[in-house]
Amino acid sequence: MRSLHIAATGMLAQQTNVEVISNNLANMNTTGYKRRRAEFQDLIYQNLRRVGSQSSDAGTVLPSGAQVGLGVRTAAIYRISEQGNLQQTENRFDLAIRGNGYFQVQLPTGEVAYTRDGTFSLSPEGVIVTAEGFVVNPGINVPAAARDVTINASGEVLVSLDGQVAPQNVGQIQTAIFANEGGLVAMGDNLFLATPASGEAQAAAPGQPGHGTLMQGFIETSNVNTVQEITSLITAQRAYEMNSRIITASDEMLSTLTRLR
Amino acid sequence: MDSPSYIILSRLTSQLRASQVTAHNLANADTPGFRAARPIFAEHLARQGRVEGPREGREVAYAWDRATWRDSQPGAITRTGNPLDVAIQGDGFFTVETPRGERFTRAGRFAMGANGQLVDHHGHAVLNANGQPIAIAPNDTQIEISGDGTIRSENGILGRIRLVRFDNEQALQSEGDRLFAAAGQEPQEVPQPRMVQGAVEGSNVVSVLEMTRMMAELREFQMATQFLERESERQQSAIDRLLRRRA
Repeated sequence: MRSLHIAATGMLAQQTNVEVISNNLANMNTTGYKRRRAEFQDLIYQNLRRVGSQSSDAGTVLPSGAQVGLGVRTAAIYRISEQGNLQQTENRFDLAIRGNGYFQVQLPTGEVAYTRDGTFSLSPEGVIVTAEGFVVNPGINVPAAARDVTINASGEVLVSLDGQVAPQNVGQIQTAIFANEGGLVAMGDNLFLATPASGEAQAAAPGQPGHGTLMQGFIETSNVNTVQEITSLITAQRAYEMNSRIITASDEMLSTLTRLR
Repeated sequence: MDSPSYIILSRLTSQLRASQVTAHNLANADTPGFRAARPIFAEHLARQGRVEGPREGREVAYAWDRATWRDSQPGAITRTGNPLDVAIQGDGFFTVETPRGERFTRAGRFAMGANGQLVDHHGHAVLNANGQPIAIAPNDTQIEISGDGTIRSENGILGRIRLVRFDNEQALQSEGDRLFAAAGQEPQEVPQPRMVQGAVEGSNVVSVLEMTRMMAELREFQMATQFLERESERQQSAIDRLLRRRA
């Protein structure tokens, strides 16, 4: 009974779909989270009769063949990199990127990770760090005596010191862009790592061609659209149920067969 | 010879396959660019040469599971927000370069490959009007795809996505992974292609219809098995009667 197995692939696919949707909903309030979508593709086909095979001795050819598909599988789980909403926090180290790009974070392992989550603060040493305490590249030191800190749209960190009229530039935050953003691999904690599929990071100051600009005092919320997710959840649940009905129907066919005397 | 049982058996086998096709359609209710398949059953005439009598009496018709065809109704187009997603409105297929040769698909979820080419989700290059991959440079950031498939960035025109059509769309071979093989046909350029950027064409499966079809198939299957059972009862009673008369 092939239809039993086919319907089972359908149920598995919808289960993945529900898992992805629930992860989106769970991360509805995660700063910088990008929603994901499961994408499906049909499995291989068995040819019962090949298209174009001869249908009679007179040389006539079958205009269409008989194929049975064997179900569905998950092709990929995509990240949709649409801009999330900007939320004002009034925290002077919070940064949001408007447009393309990722902040670069130095991990304790020596690797560089990338993030859209700009919830930054100062470490005890006065360096700009992420919420986990990882240094934001290239480690910018803000003097303890700084009265005010301004981070402008192009990533320059300007501090006002007592007794100085002009603000002092203490560093430049750079953002990284990738040839294929979708190729970044998520490592949790809002962090991503570069892979051969994403290509090398191209770091530059915000506002350069291809790079977005920064906004101080704002964070980027997730781009999860609750209404859309709930709607997809209902659709996925119904599709799951319908596939399970196919299993019931196939089972009933089998039981009719076994009852046959 | 026991024709009725064999005839109904041919019907049962066909019905089983019909349910497989329906199950496959429903399993792919969320597969972008998927086209629902439908089985075709035909009468198969077996001549019984030596029987004299009216024409109808000479022929036995078996159900013959003849072919599957693809429903070519377009699927619903949904917005995705990815600038490289392209949905086809109306006729046509995208061409992608696979290791097995050119393949055709309606699933327009494209991305930028690591080498800067426009690729499908398998990494197969999407081909332009000249049959070449479409390259996007890292400094092309504002990608715009117009209705006829022309890809533009702030640095100018990058190419035009090729849309092809076939004389006999039904003869295309489904390969899975949402790809079709040309099966000996020459692809022809669609004269007036229409595409939508930032959207993907969904599956054209209508779940409710498939569900109803499955129920109908189940009942027909049960009817056929019932017929088979009655037929066996009829034969049994004939045998019983004949044996009784002899005794």
